[in-house]
Amino acid sequence: MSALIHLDHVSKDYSGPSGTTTVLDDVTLQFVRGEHVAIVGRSGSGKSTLLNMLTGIDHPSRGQVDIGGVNIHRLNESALARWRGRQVGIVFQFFQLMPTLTVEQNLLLAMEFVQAIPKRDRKQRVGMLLERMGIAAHARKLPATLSGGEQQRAAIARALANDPQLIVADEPTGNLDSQMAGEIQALLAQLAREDKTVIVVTHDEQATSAFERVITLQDGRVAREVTRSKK
Amino acid sequence: MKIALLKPWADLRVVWRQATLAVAALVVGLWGVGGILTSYSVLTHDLRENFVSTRPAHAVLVSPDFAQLNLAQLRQRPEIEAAELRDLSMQRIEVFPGEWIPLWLFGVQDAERATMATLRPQQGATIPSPGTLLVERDGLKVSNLRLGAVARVRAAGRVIEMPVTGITYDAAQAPATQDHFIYGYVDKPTYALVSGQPVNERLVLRLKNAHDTSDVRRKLESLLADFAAQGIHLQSVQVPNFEEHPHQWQLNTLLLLQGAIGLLAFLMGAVLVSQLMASLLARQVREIGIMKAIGASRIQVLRLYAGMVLAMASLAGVVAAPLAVFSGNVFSRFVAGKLNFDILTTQLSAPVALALGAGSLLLPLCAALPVLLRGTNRSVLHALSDQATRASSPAARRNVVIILTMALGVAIFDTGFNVRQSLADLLADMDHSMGHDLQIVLKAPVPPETILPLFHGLYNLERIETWNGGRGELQSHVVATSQGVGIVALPWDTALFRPHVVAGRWLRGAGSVEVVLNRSAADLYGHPEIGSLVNVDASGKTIQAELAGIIDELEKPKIYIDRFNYDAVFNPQHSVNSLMLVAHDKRFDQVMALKRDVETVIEQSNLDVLYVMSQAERVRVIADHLDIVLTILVALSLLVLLVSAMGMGSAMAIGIQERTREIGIMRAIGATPSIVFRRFVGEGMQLGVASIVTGLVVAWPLGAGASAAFGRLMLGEDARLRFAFSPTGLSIVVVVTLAFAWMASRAPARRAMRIPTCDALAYA
Repeated sequence: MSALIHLDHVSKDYSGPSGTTTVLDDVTLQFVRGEHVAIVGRSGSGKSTLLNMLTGIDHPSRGQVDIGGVNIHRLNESALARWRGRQVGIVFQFFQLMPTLTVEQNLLLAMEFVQAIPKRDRKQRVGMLLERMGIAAHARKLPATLSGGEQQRAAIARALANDPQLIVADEPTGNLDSQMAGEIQALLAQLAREDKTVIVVTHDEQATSAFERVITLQDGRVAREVTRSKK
Repeated sequence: MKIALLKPWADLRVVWRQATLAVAALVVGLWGVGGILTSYSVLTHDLRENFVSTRPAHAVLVSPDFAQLNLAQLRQRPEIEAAELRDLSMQRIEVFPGEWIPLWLFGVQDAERATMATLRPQQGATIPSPGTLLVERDGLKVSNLRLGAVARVRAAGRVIEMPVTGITYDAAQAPATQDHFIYGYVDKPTYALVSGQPVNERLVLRLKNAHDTSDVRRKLESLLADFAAQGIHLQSVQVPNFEEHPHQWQLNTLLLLQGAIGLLAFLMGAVLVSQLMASLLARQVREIGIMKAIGASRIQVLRLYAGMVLAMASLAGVVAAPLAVFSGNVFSRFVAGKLNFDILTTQLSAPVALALGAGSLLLPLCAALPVLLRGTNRSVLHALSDQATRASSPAARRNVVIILTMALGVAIFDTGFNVRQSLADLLADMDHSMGHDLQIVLKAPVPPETILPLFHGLYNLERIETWNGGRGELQSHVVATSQGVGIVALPWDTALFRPHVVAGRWLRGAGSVEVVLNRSAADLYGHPEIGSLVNVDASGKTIQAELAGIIDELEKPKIYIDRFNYDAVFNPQHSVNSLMLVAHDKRFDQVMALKRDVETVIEQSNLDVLYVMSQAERVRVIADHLDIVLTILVALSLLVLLVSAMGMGSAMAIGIQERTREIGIMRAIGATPSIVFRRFVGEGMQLGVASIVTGLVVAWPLGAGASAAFGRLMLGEDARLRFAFSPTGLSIVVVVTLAFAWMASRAPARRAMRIPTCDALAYA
């Protein structure tokens, strides 16, 4: 199967008062469609930086990132925003829903920004996504009135709003209890089975059993890579 | 509703208090600017229309030889648009029993068919029939004259009774309420009978294709040469400011005031919106990052926040526009009433409506745009980082904004009150500079021994000093006046005139012949050098004098000279034309009683008097001229103070809300609610005091600029009002600023303390 994502000798340096720190050091990775990948490592190992490279939020100091045939770091800000909206769905640790909009409106806002889904289909798609996430009853509620798990489901629904190929999640269960965390993990695994590429950053190595591929980062380098057969 | 519209609305609901304050400030500012724009368009247009529609004279020529002028032939000349012989003399009229004021008596012919300087009938007869009088409508406000009343006119040393058969409107005259004159109109035979003067000696002209005063002067040259060739000798040629109402300066002052202060008020409202947006964006840094992360471009995010500004501006515009139009019209009617002209405009003009609408939307947007651009320019990475929310609104910068916002309001308000105080001081100076209580001005000089005994023994009369004077001219390469300026010949050491000398010194008795000019005369003659020798012409004679000094005086151009020196050349008979009466008891009612006794003497003696005026009345006349300016000055200054106080309140409230986490920490480490509360209110008061101090410092140069502008408008070029400090203004500033600071820090601090400590600590 041809790779969807190519990271080719990607490094990232940060300059600070104490000199230059290399957060990612010559990382080369490939991800294919439908892969369900966990990126694990201790705090400061470069997990979030790697995720930022994949979403175009941060730029590599060296090397390049090619996603679906697009060298994303050659895009300007506006083109990058358009690309990200269409191709990537991001799930944040603290959900990061717009607090003044209802759950339904949060999804519609994402669709309005990207304009990938025809206007007439948006409401129906929102209904479908919320139904699938099991929070259809909360469509008209503000995020603050939902539990953490429900908010994260809403955030995943928003990530899927524009039907992107790539889903990246930064510690999506880090703020949830174990039962909720399990449910969210299952949801993400299901997305991978539907041919989405799902890349999840987590610091909890115990929670990686559900992933078919686990990449361990240490000091900015790929320390270990384990691939299991698809479940 | 589109989600892109829904988000701004939903976000504004979260900060509804600050948003309401910002919208309120915008409403007040827009109301001020809109009202000003409305009244500006109405007043400038309508005063001009009122005045210009009378087809006012471009030139006024006086000659005893106009009897030989063929008026029909004159009207055929190519440069003449219209010409009328309209006589004018100064008489006196009784406005209330025993109270006489000057009457400008016009002798008109066939007023109904006049093609220039037209009158607009208001009530009764449209033309004066023989022996009757038409009265200009503004005169009714300062007299008991009414249609059908019998007016008592004193002319040529006798009293004549004339029925008032009509009320007319003469838009070209200064308002009677301010100048305390009555304008009366009679036909030519009645004019000759009443005034005892020949008719047809005053020619008023309008010239074709004249666009300004210099055009008029140029076009007059050939006409004047032809008059000279025909043996018509002119006594005077007056060219008034081209198609400019005599009180245009008042309107200009008002509009300058309105424009400057109203615009500032609105700008402050716009700045307030900008502050609100800065605060909102600072709190929504992370949201901006998220929006960009889920696919929003910078333009899309910018549009969201610009939508918020436009929503607030639109709301303010919807509320303020009708208020602005209404108050603009009310203000226009108020000013029109004061200046005696009719409001002709009934609809807001399309350009004004467009400017109002566009300004209300664009100005707040422009004020907020830098903040919006900065706020939406952050990269996703930066927006999502922890540093972004922490570094978004440093307290020092926020406090500077609070202080500057309020300081600007304090400065403008204080300047307004200080200028007002300067004007009040100017009036007090005038009152103080004149030591007499009553002045009797005669139409022609008389020997003092024939007039002084008439007033001898009047109750409450301490003494009488006699002055003389007339019209003369300072020989100048700069200007030649048509009628000359007033020359006042008075004892150099008189105790009755103590002017404020602004350059050089007052007259000295010994030695050389000297003159002193008032500031208007110095302007007129191009500021001759103090100590230089000048030639003064009067009555066909010339005297050389040294220019000793220049004095401040809210008066027409005047030349002061010692009476002894004046008499030596111009008045060998030592006649007098002014009696300066000093009363024992200077209380207003006692002086008025003396004035009534003086009037009785005048009536019995048939003296030909130009006017009798008390010093108190003279000051009142000038105060009436300034009254409208002072009223508007105070009103607009209050408006600015209010808007800036709202701005300060809003910024302070935002500041405290942003420190909710700090409040949580304080409470977590043991601070009681009252400690927290005292701390924030104390900080608010400190900011208020800092604003007052900064504002007062800024008020200093502002005051100097304003004094210069007002001085120029009212006293002449280079004139400045003396800087004055208004304790009333300062008291209002202190009370309003500290009250707003107290309220603005108390309310949000109280709200912040109601938040549970754990929630306060989690506040982003």
